[in-house]
Amino acid sequence: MTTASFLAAFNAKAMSYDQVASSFVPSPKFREFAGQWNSLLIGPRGSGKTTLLRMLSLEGMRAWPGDEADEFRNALNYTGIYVPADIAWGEMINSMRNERSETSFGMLAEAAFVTNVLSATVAAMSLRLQPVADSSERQAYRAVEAPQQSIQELVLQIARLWQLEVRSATLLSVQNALGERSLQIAQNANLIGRGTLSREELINSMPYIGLPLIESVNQAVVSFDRAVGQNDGIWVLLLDEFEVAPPYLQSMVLTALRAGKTKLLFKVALAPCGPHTLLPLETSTPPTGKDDFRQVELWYADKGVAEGFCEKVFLSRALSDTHLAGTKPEKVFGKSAYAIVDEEGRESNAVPIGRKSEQYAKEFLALAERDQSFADFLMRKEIRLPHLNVADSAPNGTVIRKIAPIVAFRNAYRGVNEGKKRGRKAFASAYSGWSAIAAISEGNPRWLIGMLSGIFAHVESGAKLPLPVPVQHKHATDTGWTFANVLRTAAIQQFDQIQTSRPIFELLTQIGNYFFDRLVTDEFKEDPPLSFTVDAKVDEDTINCLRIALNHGAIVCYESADGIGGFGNLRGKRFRLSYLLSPCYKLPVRKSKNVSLSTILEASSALEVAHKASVDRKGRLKKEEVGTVMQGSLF
Amino acid sequence: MTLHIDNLSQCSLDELARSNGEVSLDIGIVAFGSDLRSTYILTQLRRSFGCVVAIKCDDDVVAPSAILSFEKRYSAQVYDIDDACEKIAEEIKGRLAKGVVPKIFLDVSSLSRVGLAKIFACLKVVCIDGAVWLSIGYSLARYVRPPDQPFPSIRRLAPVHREFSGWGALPSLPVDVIVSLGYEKGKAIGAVEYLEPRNRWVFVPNSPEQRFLQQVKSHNKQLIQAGEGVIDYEVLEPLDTYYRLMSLVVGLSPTARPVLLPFGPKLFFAIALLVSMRFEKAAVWHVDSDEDSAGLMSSPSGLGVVFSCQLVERAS
Repeated sequence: MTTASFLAAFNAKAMSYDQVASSFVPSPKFREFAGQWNSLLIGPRGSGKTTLLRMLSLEGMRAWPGDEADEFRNALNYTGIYVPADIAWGEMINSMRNERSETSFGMLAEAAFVTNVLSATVAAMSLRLQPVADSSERQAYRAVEAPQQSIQELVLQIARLWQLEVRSATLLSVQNALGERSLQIAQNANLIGRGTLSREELINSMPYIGLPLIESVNQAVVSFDRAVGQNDGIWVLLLDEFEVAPPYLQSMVLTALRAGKTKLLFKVALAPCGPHTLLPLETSTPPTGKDDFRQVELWYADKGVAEGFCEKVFLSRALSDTHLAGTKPEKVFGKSAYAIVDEEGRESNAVPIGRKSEQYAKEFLALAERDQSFADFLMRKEIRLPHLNVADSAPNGTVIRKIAPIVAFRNAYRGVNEGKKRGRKAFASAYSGWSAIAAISEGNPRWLIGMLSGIFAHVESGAKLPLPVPVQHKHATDTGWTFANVLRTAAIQQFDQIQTSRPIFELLTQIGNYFFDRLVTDEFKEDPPLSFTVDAKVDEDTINCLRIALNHGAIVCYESADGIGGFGNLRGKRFRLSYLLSPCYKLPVRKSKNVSLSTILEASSALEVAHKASVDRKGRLKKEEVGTVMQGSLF
Repeated sequence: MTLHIDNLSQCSLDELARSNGEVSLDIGIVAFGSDLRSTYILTQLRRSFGCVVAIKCDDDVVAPSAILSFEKRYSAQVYDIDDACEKIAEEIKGRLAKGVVPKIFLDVSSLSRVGLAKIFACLKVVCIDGAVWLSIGYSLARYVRPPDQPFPSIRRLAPVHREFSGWGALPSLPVDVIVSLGYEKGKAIGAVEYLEPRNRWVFVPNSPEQRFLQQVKSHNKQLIQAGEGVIDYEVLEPLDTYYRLMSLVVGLSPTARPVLLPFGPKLFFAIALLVSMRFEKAAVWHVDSDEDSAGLMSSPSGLGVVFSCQLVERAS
């Protein structure tokens, strides 16, 4: 079923390296991120940050089969150290916080994080020294040998540097000692929390408190390279979900990105609006030149690029499906009935012109009969029905193609009586066809794979392709609603610093409903607003709500991040709702003009009293079910 | 030294009420409130208590006369949660100092989840000094329809208490979520997906109030459909639930970080805390808007259970 596959779809954190690598599709963004330089990777949840980081680790590189992988293995001359982190781990560390001992908490949190990084570092060293059973070039990637004596000296040197007591001169012993340290940090956190350990006692019992992160790793990898006779080796710390790290460490690493090419590089994954965007850094401007670090954003302003990546993902997933292997996505999904207009105004590959004219004329006639404002529009533009010429060279060809989706939406959702909304009949063709499916996925691998897994389950041997529109529509809509349900219960506080009193889903619904009203209920407009700008009137509480929405991928910014690792300021920036929510709010997948957010909020307040209805999957969202459902004191 | 949970047993409220209990208990812990459910078991037990600690919800504004009246009626003392924990620790330590194994009775039915976590954290610390008997009482509520009006949003999803945060689990392991369901639509799925788990283990509560189960199933369809394992459990069979939950947590821990999301019945929440006390790698999380509406579930159904165990620290 779609829901199950959406929830279970591609979570790189939970997969083995072989599993991640077997279906990995390197995008142009991966190439930009992967080079031998410091780089930041910014993206919402599910956008593939963990996959990219893991693929750059030593394990990922060794697990990745194929010619394209060889190209990367030949080009990248560094050892990637993947440092895992996630919300659960971040919150675990955060739970040590205690009002009575804020300073001690800071020290413990830093020690926990540094221990995690050191542990990942020694794991990468061990892997490089591990004898290679398989003599293939891939398995031997960056494998080295060193005399036993050198390794023993290395271990003793690392133990001294990291203040560890090792039981034997092996890297395994270093790893075990770090495990013990991790437990000691936990125990001391509890003792501090219980008030049975003073700050002085804490410092005395943990001499490694304050161990500098960068220098500790740097010195260790210098020692390693000396031991294996590769003094010019390069190492890269691949820091996942770095927004959960203590602020001091975030600030230090983000500052170090500007240090240029050094022995130890950083590749850091961040949420677009994490606490790092609020940190006072020495310099917080995004990268400026070639010699600076690279900042890669995992959202697609240009749908064309996203579609290319989506096609590669499709082909990769289809390989494991006996019925679809080697089949092009357009054959499976067909062309979209309506053009998906991207941010540059380019159209996707929609249905051929001949068929378009016929289909459009039917829709235009139907709407003109019951929507006077549309009939007036046609008159003004001198568009005469039933003969429509949609060719570029025709006087109104571009206009007709541009308004066709709007006409179709008004036809589907506008009542017979002028101004009234028609009901709930699904407008299936808006969310089908490969261009629409790719656009709805936003180039987000988890969402795309979620949709594809559900749809693949419907393809049987000898099934007629393209798949029926209702099947495609159902899976796109189900995926959208599953995402909506996750947003419905999204927490209104993230990372301590970002808090709002406004439920995330409520704000999204106000925006979605406003766009729907402009599109369907109001007088016909050639270009109704489908995007918004955060203007000066929008308060900080609402902006924090938008920050959380952006981190979830529920809204997409048209512009690049304005600071290191994300958006420091949302004011003045233009956004749209994620296309994955389009089926929920009954909106077209297209670019359109913008309106200020304060206008939307004011209109929404005015309508609040008037609107009374309920939400269901078939109808558009209605106001009183917008709020989240409280977890009650059950039973 | 590790905390062990021994000598587990359970007894229905009916059986307890029928027995001519001569056993006295040292400390009774209940929620302070005017609703029948918060003191239902206390009145049914017919046991004598050394002291009764009644816990007042932080947000409650209560007239002093109401507190006095409650204290008089139940021979109790009303405290805020933090003061209550201090009192409980003091009483237990006093008995341990005299070489007595303290017997605690805790009615979880109407207490808040954060309050429960604080009480269990307190017990976890004090039983370092000696064994403690703990009886957990639970009174099943009469069915009430879930509310129709919009609810407050989730403020934050996080471990419910420092002592139950899952220390020792490595970030290199994926998260496996074990969720017990409540009957609110869509809530659990949001919390589960926030953690981006590898697997989802779903506990579905069944009880003699069948209408709860219908609501639970209809409001959590997606999660039940997506769960790697769906485990039906009887709310009034805590012993069985404890063993099932413990064995799942132990089984998962070599390859995952278990995170427990105990929505739904408070008895499951208490069991999750016990499991985390015994097995520290298991974290217990909560949604902080679920300091719910005790008022909604204020009427006892007449059914209930008492689950007993001994908490003792000893070498593994």
